[in-house]
Amino acid sequence: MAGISSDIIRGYNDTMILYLLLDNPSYGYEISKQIKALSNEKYIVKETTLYSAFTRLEKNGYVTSFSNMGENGAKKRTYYRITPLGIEYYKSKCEEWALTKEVVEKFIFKENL
Amino acid sequence: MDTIKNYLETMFANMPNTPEVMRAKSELYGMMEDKYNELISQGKSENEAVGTVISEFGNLDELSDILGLNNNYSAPVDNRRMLSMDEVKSYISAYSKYSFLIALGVFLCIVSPVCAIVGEMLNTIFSENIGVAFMLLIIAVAVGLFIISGMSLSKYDHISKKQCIIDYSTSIYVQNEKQRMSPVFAIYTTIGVMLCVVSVIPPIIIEAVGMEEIVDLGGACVLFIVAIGVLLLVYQGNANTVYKRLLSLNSNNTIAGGYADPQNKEVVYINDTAATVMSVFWPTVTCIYLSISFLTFCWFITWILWPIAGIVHAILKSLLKK
Repeated sequence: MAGISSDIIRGYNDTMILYLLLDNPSYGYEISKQIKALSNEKYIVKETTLYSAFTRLEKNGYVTSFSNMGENGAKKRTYYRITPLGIEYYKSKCEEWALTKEVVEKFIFKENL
Repeated sequence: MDTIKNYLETMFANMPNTPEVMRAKSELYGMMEDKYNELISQGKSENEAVGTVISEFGNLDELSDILGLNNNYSAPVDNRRMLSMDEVKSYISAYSKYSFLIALGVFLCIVSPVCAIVGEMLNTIFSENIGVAFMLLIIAVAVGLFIISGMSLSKYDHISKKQCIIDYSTSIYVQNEKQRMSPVFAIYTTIGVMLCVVSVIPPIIIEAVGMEEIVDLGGACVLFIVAIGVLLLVYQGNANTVYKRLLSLNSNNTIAGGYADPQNKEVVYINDTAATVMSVFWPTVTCIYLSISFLTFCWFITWILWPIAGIVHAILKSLLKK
């Protein structure tokens, strides 16, 4: 099976991150772990990809960051929280994907060639 | 875990230490550490964990945008002027010309008495006056050179007076130029010092062979050789400054983040009082030296103050340093 093309998925890293932040704030590794788990280990996000996505999202005002001790209190981590603007952006990305999927789908063979 | 730390340090080795880069490094390290710890707790071997973490790290190129490391990144940081590569190049060449003119001026000042000496030696009716006139003429030329050299740099005043910054690729260029020039400067320094040392040889020889009539010429030779030596020393000293000045534009004190040579870091003292004491140390020693020497006229022994002061300075520095 072919792996996921990072060029294609790049536009949707933001969507995945924002989705995972919808319920509660989270931090880098937690998010990368959830992406891996939710994708059934088919997509493993690279640390650099994740970090640049966080920074971009923060710069655009879609998330805010704050430092927090982890649950075990041992390590200080940077947590990210989604903003109302981020939620709006997430919604628009979902719509965009629905449309993209609808269009691309038309050109995908269902049967084996 | 050390392997991961080293890996990250290596990846970031060539990056400037701007706040963005520092933050990226610590965040990435945090994520890698979490992943590593989890893999270990899942029972993976250390090698396996390190391998997985490193293979899933990604590519630093992805960060170049957010870290502002692109060549075309020229957004000014709070009013500081970003110097373009061309500007930096022309500044370096202008500075080199300026250094040469200054050195030439100093050279002329030193050799100017040679005219007077020669004039006196010829010992004809007007030769002495003509010699002095030539000496003054040469000094006038030297002063002219000083003025011209000052003016030639004036259009780059903003680099030394206003706050400017250079981007990362420019700093790399300056760093390389500095490295390229350092053997040349080392040769200039060596030859310069050697010339100053050997300058006393001509009068010694003249005296040894007992040619009384040209004994003054020996003095002229000394001046001439010393002048060449000083020319080289002054030139390299000045020309070298330009690289340091450019590299220190982004030092930790002027902008958050430094491209400056880590070896050239300034000493930081434990508190302001210590810094003040250390800054007035040498002027104070000079005052004491001159006072004692003029009061006692024991110049032959008062020099001992300098080595003592040197040792005291070193001790104070290590005690008061942060």
